[in-house]
Amino acid sequence: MIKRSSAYIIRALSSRLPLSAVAVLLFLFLPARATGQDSFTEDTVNISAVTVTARAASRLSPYTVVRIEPDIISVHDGNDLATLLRTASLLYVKRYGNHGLASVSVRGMSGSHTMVTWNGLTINTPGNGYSDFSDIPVMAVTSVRITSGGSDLDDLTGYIGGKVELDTDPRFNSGSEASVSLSAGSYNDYTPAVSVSFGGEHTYMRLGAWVGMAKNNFRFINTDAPGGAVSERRSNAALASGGIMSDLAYRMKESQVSLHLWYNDSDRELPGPVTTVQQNFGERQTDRSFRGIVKYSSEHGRLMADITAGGSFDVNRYYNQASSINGDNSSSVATVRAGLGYRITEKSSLQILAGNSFEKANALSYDGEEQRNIFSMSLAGKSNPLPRLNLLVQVRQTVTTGLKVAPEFTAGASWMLSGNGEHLIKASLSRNNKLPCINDLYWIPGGNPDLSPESSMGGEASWSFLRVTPAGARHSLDLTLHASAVSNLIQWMPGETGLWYAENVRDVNITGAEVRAGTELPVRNWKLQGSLNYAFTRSVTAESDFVANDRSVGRQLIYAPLNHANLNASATRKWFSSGMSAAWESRRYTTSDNSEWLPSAFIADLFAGADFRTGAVGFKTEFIVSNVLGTATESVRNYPMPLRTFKIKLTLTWSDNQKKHETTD
Amino acid sequence: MKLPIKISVILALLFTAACESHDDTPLYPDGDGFLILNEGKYLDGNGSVSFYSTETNEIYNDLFSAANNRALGDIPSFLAVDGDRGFIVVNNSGTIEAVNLRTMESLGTITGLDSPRQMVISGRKGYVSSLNSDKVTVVDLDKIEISGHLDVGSTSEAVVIAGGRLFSAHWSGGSSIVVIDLTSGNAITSIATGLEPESMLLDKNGKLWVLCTGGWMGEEIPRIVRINPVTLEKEADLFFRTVDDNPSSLNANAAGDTLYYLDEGVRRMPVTAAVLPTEVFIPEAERRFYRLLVSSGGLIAVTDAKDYMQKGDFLVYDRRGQLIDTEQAGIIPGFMLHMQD
Repeated sequence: MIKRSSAYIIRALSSRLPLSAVAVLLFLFLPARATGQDSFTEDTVNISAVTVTARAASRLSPYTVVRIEPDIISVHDGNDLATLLRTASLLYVKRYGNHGLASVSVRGMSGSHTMVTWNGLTINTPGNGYSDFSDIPVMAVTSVRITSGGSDLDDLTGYIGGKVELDTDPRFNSGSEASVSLSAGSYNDYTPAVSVSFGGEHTYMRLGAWVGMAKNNFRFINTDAPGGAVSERRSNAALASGGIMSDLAYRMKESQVSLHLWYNDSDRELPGPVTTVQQNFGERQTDRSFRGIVKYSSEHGRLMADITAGGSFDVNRYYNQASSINGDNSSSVATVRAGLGYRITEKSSLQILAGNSFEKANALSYDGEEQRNIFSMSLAGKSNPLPRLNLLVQVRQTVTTGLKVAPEFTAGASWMLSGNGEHLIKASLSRNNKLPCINDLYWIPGGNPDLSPESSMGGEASWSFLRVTPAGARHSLDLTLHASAVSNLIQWMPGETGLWYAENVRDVNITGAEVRAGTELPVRNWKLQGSLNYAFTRSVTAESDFVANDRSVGRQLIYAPLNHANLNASATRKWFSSGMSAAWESRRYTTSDNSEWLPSAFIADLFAGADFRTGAVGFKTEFIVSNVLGTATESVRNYPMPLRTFKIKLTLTWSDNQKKHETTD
Repeated sequence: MKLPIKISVILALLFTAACESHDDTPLYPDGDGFLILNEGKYLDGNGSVSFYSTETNEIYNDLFSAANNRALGDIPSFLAVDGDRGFIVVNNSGTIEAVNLRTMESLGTITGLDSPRQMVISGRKGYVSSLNSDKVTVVDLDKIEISGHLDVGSTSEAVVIAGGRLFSAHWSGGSSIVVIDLTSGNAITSIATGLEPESMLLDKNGKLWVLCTGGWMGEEIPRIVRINPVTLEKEADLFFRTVDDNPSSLNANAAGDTLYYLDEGVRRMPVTAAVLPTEVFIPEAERRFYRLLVSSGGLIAVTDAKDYMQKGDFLVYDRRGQLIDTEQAGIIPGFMLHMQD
């Protein structure tokens, strides 16, 4: 008999709506969206041995979806998201020095091929298509989910590389909480933060604020200095930032509505490259962004619906004192999406998703304000015709101003090899696109309004093992093989005048293998956790019609390491915890003919902490040593990272829920 | 001699031999050839020096780093010769490396320059143009240090000295040649040219020729301007075809009677011509010609920078325009200097 497990019911559609007719009308008259992937597993066999967690839903997806463990997020909550992802995911982080601009790439593509969403709102800047991960503090999110490849067609547009989903999930029934924290680290790195929250049966509200500042004048080794290798201090690298975020949520019996607001402001000096001598062009950048989104979801009988409406406004200013070059960029995005799901039978369902995004961008290098409208609609069919088999077919069509976009599709299946779900195989095939960003189209000089969307055709196959023992141990192993062919890759290439132009100039072939292993082991009074991730990604230029004798053909793309691994381990006993995280990247080529590269890099961090609690009050302290081996590394050539640094974090919390628990005990 | 003493002597000899075992082999052969500055990828600091020997028909790469065990810097853009010494202007590192031209060993580094571009030598002084600054930096060649500045009132690119005057091309966004009297250090006048005078030289008659690109946005039709450096009068304007033309790298043969430049390939014209040539002498074909140099022997050297992110090609043509050789140079091979015995 097929049983429904609540673990596999989608997040956004988990409540029920009495006003299904209203939803239908909304669907008819508003662009719609629904989460397709998670609801795929709504009807499935009950897996008694598997703990009911959100991870299970990701596991049954026919393509790779990984959620970063909350424990790891907690260790990094004084850092930026780029630092977290480097040590806890198989994403490649490219950053212009400590606290410098940071982008992440998935499976050998560039950072512009990674979509970043916050509570469902895409936060990539429409201008350049990137999201700066150094400007996102880990403390601003409670959940990080990563989709590798572009198979997930639930969003309005595709991205080819992968997706990073950041969420601040409401915590109903969590009681009243307040916390104050301060982290202080090497080179005047201070991050104070406060948050208050209340989680009742129907309502949830949270308000958090933080400030970040760092002098960032760390020491590094300049090996190419004219007089020989010397130890120098980084200059023009200070940072000041701050943010405030609020979540409000209300749930009824069958529906839930939430509002999320986020204001972020940063002012960063931009250190110059160390090209034999340390350059200082007096560069500085300020970024200010405001994001807001309202989400409504409901479920009633066989009908599920959700609506998301939000927007973001970003202002980026750049100053270069040396050359008197300034930049003034602004962009705004207004998005509305809605989805409607209908369970045809206990074994199959249909979902239709539609939405519209209006993007507007302004820059000194545009010929006035540029804007475009992106509308897309997708249809997904999901079925589990056999108890162990889940099938997904999804198609999406995007219509946007001035571009012809081919239809996209994903087809996939997962099959439980064993009845208890320990062993699972899955495979998917997908064709997806990425639209040119507004800079690619309209930047003067070099923007090309005749660009075509980049497209990717590929697939992946995985074997997944997951065992949860009655004693509480949890072991997992996932092996994935993937391959894709990306065509019409947009690159900025030099033209006749030496100016650079955006062109659909190259094709890229990507093949790879990924391994993810994890364990959680209770040993007497200790809780031991560990995870090991490894990725082999071959991402090579397949064809180029740019110049004669192009030596980039057959070569690995720049800043796409062939091998990437990381390890996280921790041990917790009562109030004490300690652990380490390490990341290794093989050489990263810096020239398209692979004649030059950054050497492989291994970075290890150690941490230890104590968590004391008395009644409603808790006090937590953590001590972190980053780059404990003092390795000299660069993520971008000539932008050195710090050697060994230290950070201490103190957190004082008050929670009436904790007090209630103790009273009850 | 007792055994321990013998052993000590042998070990001492071995140690001495080991200490002296450094390779005295020249990094590149003497004789005729081209020194090539490879700009490197922007901000990567991987500029390099190559030498192409016209006697062995081989190229020798990474000469500076081999001699000095360190990188040259970001965008070496020009090399000025002072006897057997070279002064390599490293634009985006803001430095000038003084080197021994035969060994490429660094003799000193001048730092703190503001986006230096080119350098011209007169007496024991070097005059360095700047993409950012309104000043030309004066370098003491013997002390290898900055000795002063000349206020030219605009940024500068190509610099030429004639008749005790410094002619400084206001390239970036400009359309003039600023003339400085080197005795007083004061600006004499400014000569209007076309937009963005990019390269400049003196011909056999002592006339100053200036190639103006017409602006990086194609604001006006490019032109080549002839100036009398004595009267400071503009004598001729030779216009290209359309605003879409992208000429660069004005050059001349050793005799100074024929001009060469890049425009859809290599074109050439006698200095007596009244109009620009319509025929391409060496077609660019599928290549991306970046810089040009004509040797005293009439060989025509051209660089192909490809996508500016990989190693480029160095091509040599004979005086009839027939390709002689193609070699892989460094990343963005740019400025070239003809070396002779």
